[in-house]
Amino acid sequence: MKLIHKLEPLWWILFGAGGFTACFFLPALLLGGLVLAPQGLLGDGLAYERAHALAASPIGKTFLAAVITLVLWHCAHHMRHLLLDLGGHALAPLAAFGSYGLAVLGTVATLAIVAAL
Amino acid sequence: MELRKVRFEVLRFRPEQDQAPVFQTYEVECMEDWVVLDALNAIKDDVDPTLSHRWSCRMGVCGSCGMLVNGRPVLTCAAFVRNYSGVIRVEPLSNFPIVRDLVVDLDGFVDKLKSVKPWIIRRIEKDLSEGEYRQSPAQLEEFKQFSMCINCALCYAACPVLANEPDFVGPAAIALGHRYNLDSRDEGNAERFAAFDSHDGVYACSYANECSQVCPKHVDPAMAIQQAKLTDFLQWAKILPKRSFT
Amino acid sequence: MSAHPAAEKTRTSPARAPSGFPFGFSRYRNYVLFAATSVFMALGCIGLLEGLYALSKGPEAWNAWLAHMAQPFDLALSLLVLGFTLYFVVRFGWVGRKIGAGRIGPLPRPPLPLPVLGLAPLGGFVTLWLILLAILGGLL
Repeated sequence: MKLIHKLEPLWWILFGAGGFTACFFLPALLLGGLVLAPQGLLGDGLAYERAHALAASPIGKTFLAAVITLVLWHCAHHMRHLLLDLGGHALAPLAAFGSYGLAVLGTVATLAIVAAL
Repeated sequence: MELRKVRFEVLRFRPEQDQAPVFQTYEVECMEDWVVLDALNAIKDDVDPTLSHRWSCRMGVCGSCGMLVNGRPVLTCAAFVRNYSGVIRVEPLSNFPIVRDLVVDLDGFVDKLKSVKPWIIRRIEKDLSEGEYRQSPAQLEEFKQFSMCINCALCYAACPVLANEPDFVGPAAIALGHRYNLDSRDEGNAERFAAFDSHDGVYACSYANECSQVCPKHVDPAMAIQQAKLTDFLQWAKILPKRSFT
Repeated sequence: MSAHPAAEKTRTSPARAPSGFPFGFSRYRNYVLFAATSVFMALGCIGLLEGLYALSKGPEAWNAWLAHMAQPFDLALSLLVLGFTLYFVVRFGWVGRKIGAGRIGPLPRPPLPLPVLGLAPLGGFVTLWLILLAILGGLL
């Protein structure tokens, strides 16, 4: 826990950077990828060939890995604070280790999936 | 001038007789231009002399009369009775232990203010013969807003973080420390770092912005805290040096 | 610490939480909603990762995933996630503007007034979204 506290500025900058990354890119990615494409409203934009070409390109891989990882770390920090606000001081260790632990898992999963593209 | 009978539900706590706080109701004939503080003083003068509450200037500059009125932290000398309808509930500030009735224990608050070393810190004090420290209007503008704090502690009462983390140094203290960090005459940035950098320092804030919503002097402590977070991070990461910026 | 070293401290009553926290007062509700956006944004990321995983497995998996996401329940969840994300953007940008208002260490005060700083990022964000959507849609 002491280490978590020593690294507070790091968690905060990840929160901030992840937040701005989310502001820049997340709405479009969610709208395009999760809503419009499945509904067939993006034309051929995200048909397999093109989608794979975009995502698997060096720029695509870097972009996706960076955006998803940063947003996950942002969410982790915010969820930690949400738990503290709702549950109080007693939840502090669970909130910190739980949320940052999940972020670590998420980071590993993101890198693995992006690498496999 | 018209008189209006208004019902006040006031929180009482007398340690010698109450196990826990209880509400007591008073009916007061209020004049049209009264503030809640006037009603409390009328209660104490004419109805119940045992009621304890803090007040002083009754014009919004001393910061003594902060209380919760209908659940919101306000200066009672600035809360006009005519702006409330129905029963008016008066309670002591939240997030502070209650000493008696509407009086809270502010020792922790004062300690937090002291912890940010709210005074000009110089490496070497100038000799008097060298004259005064000069500061341009532009330099004054940079921190003036944050110097307007009257230490009323309404921001502490409103902050949701303090409800669960009572050791959070708090909005007023951070705004005060930031005021000195931005002062061109100050060189004590590094000395305030410890109070800011801990997990009870600036990073405990979670963007509720309630502090700025309730501040009667428009200090905008939330702004001070967000700026302080960025400056603190840049110093922690050794991107900026830990000293004054003049 | 006390004002007078000899002053006796009487028994105090414990501090009481702010009235209406967390759900009883509109601004506290908004604050908790803002914190809850993190849960939905994380779900959104998981959705994107699912899609990327399917994409890495070939055209059948990708088309199957697209068909799966078109289902009413998944569509509703996606729209909910999107809604929360947009609320996050507004709120985060609104508080974020406070970082840009004053001097940060040696970096000078920004020349533009606060309302402009508040709107400009939103305009910038929307522009970026449109560009990204155009890329995804094959227009760019």
